[in-house]
Amino acid sequence: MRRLLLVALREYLENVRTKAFLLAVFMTPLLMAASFLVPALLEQKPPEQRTIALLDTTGVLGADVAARIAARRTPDEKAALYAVEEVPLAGADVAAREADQAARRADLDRRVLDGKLFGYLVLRPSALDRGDGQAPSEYRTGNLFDQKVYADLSNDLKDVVNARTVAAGTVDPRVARILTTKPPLAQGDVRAASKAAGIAQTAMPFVFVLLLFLTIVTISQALVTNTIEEKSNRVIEVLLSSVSPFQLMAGKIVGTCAVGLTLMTIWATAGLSGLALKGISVVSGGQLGLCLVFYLLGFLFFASFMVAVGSVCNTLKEAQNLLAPVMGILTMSFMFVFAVMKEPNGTLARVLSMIPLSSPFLMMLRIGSTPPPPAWEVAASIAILALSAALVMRAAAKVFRVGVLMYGKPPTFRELLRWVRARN
Amino acid sequence: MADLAVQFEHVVKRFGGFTAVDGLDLEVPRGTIFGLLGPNGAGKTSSIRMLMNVFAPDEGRILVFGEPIHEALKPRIGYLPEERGLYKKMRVREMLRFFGAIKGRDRAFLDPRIQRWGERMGLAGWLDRRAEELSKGMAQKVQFLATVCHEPDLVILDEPFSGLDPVNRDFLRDVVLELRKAGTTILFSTHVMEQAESLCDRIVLLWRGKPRLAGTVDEVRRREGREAAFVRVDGASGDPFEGLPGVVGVSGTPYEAELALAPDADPNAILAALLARGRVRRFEVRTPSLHEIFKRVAGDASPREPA
Repeated sequence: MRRLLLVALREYLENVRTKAFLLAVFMTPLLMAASFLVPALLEQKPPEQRTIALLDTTGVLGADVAARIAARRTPDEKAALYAVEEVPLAGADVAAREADQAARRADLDRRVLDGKLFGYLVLRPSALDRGDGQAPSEYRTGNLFDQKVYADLSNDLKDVVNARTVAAGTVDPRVARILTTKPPLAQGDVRAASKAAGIAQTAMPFVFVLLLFLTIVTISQALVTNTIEEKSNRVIEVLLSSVSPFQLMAGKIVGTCAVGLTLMTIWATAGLSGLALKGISVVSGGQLGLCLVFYLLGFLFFASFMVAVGSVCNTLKEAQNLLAPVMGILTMSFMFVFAVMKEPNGTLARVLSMIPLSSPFLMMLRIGSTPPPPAWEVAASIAILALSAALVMRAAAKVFRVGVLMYGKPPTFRELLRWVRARN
Repeated sequence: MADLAVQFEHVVKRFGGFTAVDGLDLEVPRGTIFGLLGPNGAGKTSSIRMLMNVFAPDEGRILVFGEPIHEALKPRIGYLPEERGLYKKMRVREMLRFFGAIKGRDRAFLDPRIQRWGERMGLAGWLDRRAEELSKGMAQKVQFLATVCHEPDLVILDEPFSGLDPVNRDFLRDVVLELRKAGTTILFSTHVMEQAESLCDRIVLLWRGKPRLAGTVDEVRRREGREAAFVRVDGASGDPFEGLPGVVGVSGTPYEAELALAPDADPNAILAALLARGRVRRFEVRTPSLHEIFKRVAGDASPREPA
C-alpha cells in the first residue's frame, strides 16, 4: 500500500506541477464562460442594416407596412434595423399590379443574388381578408437561415392589418387588444428567489455534468500519455523491479484521480463562493457528496480503460485508434444531455443513467434537476457503476501486466479479450 | 543452500513457439560477481526478467536468497535494465528519492547517499537539474545510481557497460568490485567477454537459450583449455598469421592476434614460421581468453529468428 501511494504521489506531483495544469485551472472556466458569453455579446452587437424591397399588390397596406419595418431599431436603439425600398407597382387594380410585380421579379431576384438586396416582400390581398384559396403574401430571400427577418416581417404585417381592422371601428377596442396581444405571463424557478438565482439553478446540473466530463475525460487521458512515456523510455522496467504491476497501475490511477479532484475542488470552491457572495445557494451538501461519488467511480471506470490502452501502445497514435470507440460513446452520451435536461425522469434519462458509460454524467444531471430521481434509482446507478468499475479495473490489471512489457505492434481487440480471459 | 543469492533450477521460458530460455541452471553464491554471457538473443534478458518476476518461467523455479521471488524481496534487489530511461521532467534528486522510496528507504537514509554517490560520479552539479538536460553518459550514471543507492543485497545489471566511454567503464568496474567487497552480490549480463573475464568470479555462457559453459572463469578456461598463442608481429608483408601450421583459428589484427591451436600443434614450428615472416614482438602460449572460447562455442553466432 505504501508503495502504491508513493507511485500515486509522484504521478500527482508530476501532473499538478505542469503548466498545463495551471492552464487547465484557469482556462477551463474562462472557456466555459466564453462559450456562454461570446454568443450573447455577438447578439448585442448591432447587425448590419438589411435592405428589404416592398411590393404591394393590395394598394392599401404598403405605406403602413414599410413604415413599421423601417421603425425597427437595433437592440441599442442607435440605428434602424432595416432599410425599406418601396417598389411602386403600376396598374389600376390588383390583377394589373400582380402582373407588374411578376414582371419585376427576375430583376429583384438578381439584386438579391448580387447582395444589393437582402430580400423582398410581396403583399397580397390574402393579408386583409384571409379567404380560402388565396395566394399568400411572399417573403423571398437568399438567406432563410436568419429566421428573425421572417418573424419581424410577419409580425409587422399582422400588426398593420390588425390596426387597420380596429381602426375600421367595427370591433370594440378592448376586445381588439385582447385578441391582438399576448396575455402577460412571468416565469420563474420555484427553487430560486431572484432571476439570477433562477438562471444559476437552471444551469447548475449542466455545470455539474460539464465539470465531471472535463475532469474525467481530460485528466484520465494523461494516464495514456504517461504510461506510453514510461514505456517508451523504459522507466517501466525499473518501476516493476520495485512495485508489482497492480501497484503501479493502481498508483497511477489514484494519483491522476487526485489531480482531477484538485481541479474540481478549486473550481467548485471558486464557483460556489462566487455565488454565495451574491447570496445565491444552488447546491446542497448531499448533491456535492453524490457528485464526489460519481466522480470517483466514473474516473475509476474510465481511467482503467485509459491505463490499459496506454499499456499496450507505443505511440499516442496507436492509442488514439484504440480509444476511438470509447471516446465515441462518451461524446454520444454527452449529446443526450439536453434531452435528459428537458425530461429528467423520462425513459431515455432513466435508461442512460443506469449504463456505466453515461451514468456518471447523466445521473448527476438528473440529481440536479427537479424533481430529483427516486433514491433507489440513484443507489442502483451507483451500484452498477461501482460493479462495472471493479470489473473493468480487474480486466485492465490483466492487460496492463502483459501490455507494459510488450513492445511492437499493439494487440488487436480479440487478443486483448484473450488476455482478459486468461487465468493469470 | 543458504549462501546462494540466486538459484535457477532448470528454468524454461517460451514465447509462442520460440524457446527463449531452455533449461537454465545456475547458482550465484552470495558476495560474488556472476556473469551471464552470451551473444545477442541468447536469453540473457529473458532470464533476468524472470529473476525480476516480470514474467514467470514456464518450467523450473527461481530462488532469490533461498525463497521464490515475491514482492517483499524486491527492496533487496537493485535492477538496471538493458534499455534505460528516466522521467524526463523530474529533477534528478527527486527522482532518485522516488526510486529509493519505492524500494522502502526513507529520505534520511537516501539523501546522504545520493549526495555522496553524486559527488563521486561527478553528478553533484546535476542533482537539481531536470533529467532531460542530462547528456547520455550523465543519464547512465544517474540510472546506475538509482540502482544502487538504496543499498540492495543483490544488484542485477543488464549490459551495464554498453554505451559507456572507457573512463566510465573503468569507474563502473571499480564500483562493482567495491560493492562486492561490501558483501553485495552482483549478477550482470554482457556480450563483451573481456569485461566478464576481468570481473567475474563465476560465469555461465548462454547459447540459444541453453547454458553451454558454466563455472569459475579459470575452470571454464581450463576445461575448454585448448591452448592459444598470443602473438604480435611487426614488419611483415601481408598477413603473417595466414596458413600457420597447427593454427585452427585467428582473431585479431594482422599485427596482433590470438591464435587458436589444434591439439597436436607445435608452438616451436609456429614461432619459427613467424620469425621468417617478420619481427616477433610477442609470443605467449597459454589458456585461451573467454573471447576465443566464446567464439568457438558460438561459432555461427547469428541471432536466432523467432519461430
